[in-house]
Amino acid sequence: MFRAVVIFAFACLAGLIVQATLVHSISPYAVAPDFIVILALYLGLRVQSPAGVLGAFLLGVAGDFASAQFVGPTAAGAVVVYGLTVIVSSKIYAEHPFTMGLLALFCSIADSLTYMLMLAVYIDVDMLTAEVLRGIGLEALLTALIAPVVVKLLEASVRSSITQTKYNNDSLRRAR
Amino acid sequence: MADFIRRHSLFLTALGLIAASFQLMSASIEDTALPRIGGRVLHSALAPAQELHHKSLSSVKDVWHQYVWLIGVQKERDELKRRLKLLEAQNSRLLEYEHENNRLRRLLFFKRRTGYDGVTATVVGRDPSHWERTITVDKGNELAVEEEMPVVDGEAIVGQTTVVSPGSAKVLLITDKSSAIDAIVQRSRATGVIEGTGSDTLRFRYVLKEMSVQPGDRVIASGLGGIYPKGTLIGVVVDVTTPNSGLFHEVTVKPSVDLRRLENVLIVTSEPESPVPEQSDEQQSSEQGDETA
Repeated sequence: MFRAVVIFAFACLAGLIVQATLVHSISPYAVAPDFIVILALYLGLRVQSPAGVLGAFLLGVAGDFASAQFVGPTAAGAVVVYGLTVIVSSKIYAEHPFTMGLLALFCSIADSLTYMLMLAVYIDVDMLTAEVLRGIGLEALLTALIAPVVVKLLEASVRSSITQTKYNNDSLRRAR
Repeated sequence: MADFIRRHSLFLTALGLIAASFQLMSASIEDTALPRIGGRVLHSALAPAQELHHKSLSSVKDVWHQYVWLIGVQKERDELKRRLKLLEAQNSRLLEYEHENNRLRRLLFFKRRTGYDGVTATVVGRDPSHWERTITVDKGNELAVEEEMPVVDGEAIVGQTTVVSPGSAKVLLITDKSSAIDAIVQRSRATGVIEGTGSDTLRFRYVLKEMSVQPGDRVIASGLGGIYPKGTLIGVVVDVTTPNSGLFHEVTVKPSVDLRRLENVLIVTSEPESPVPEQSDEQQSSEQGDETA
């Protein structure tokens, strides 16, 4: 389990790095897929417990710290994404790449709306411009496109680590 | 109550965390140092990766830009080469125009100086055989060119027309063996006949021994024979031999015109109404200079 947490933490860091670097260089219109949404979605699919939502929250806090402007909007967004994923995955089969992509699309939009809502509550800014809305749409699309791939990769890594841990534990037990 | 909490622990936690998010947001707005504290920690982890990314991206960009730039340079070089060739061709054409302009100016000068009228013609062909010294020009009887008309190049005699047809005429050069012009030495007025030798020089025959002839003397047409205008330059004496026997000097004259390099000539078609006095070398030079200026 510890190994899985480490892998997930590493994935968070890698996601943040990729989002802060490579994705901005290669994506059009300066819009990048939201890796925090994808990771929160993964947690919502695989870890449906208070620990999972706490993980999503911490993930969001890390995202907030990465932007170093406000702490809270991304965290709230990640928690909303997590909750939405838990609710939707209990109603429909969300493992299929298409439904997962669709879920990621809605999650990304919900995340953005949460972010905007929080900013609107605390800062008096008019953010609902056509450009912002287009950016939200593009970000959601990109996120939806890569979410199934990232989730599958992450799942494969965590599963192999769990299998390895189990194998090691069994070997130790047998040795004793 | 405990059961409710246990059953809805997930959503309660989520609600609590959203509330915490609002709290954090509020705190971060009040104290801007808060996001920076966490930001520093995270940035220390992110910065090396970002730097690495930036460097690698810069390298890729450099390679790309240099590659594209090299392609651009190659295109530019090809374009410049093409333009250079064009300009060289243009320059060559302009030089050609300049030369042609000078030649035509010389012909015009001849017409003005002597009062003779004529047709400017371009040399379009030469006799292919070694036996005859003739050229073909591009003007014929459609411009009143007739046979036995004198042909000059502006300074000196070139020859006379022999066969004239529409659009062209054959000119017998003074160096041809069958060519003969009655001539006089401008300085001493010694008379004789200039004959072609078939080579690049002329023979000045029948100049009496008692007449003075020396190298450097200008030989001009005497006007006798009715073809060549009187006073028109033929050539310059280059060699004089006086044999012990016989009555005449043996004089070699070099034509004043380079007959191998003729390009434009003037076919003299009509004589002036009033005779024009022959001019000296200095006068010709000064007048020609004025004309060019």
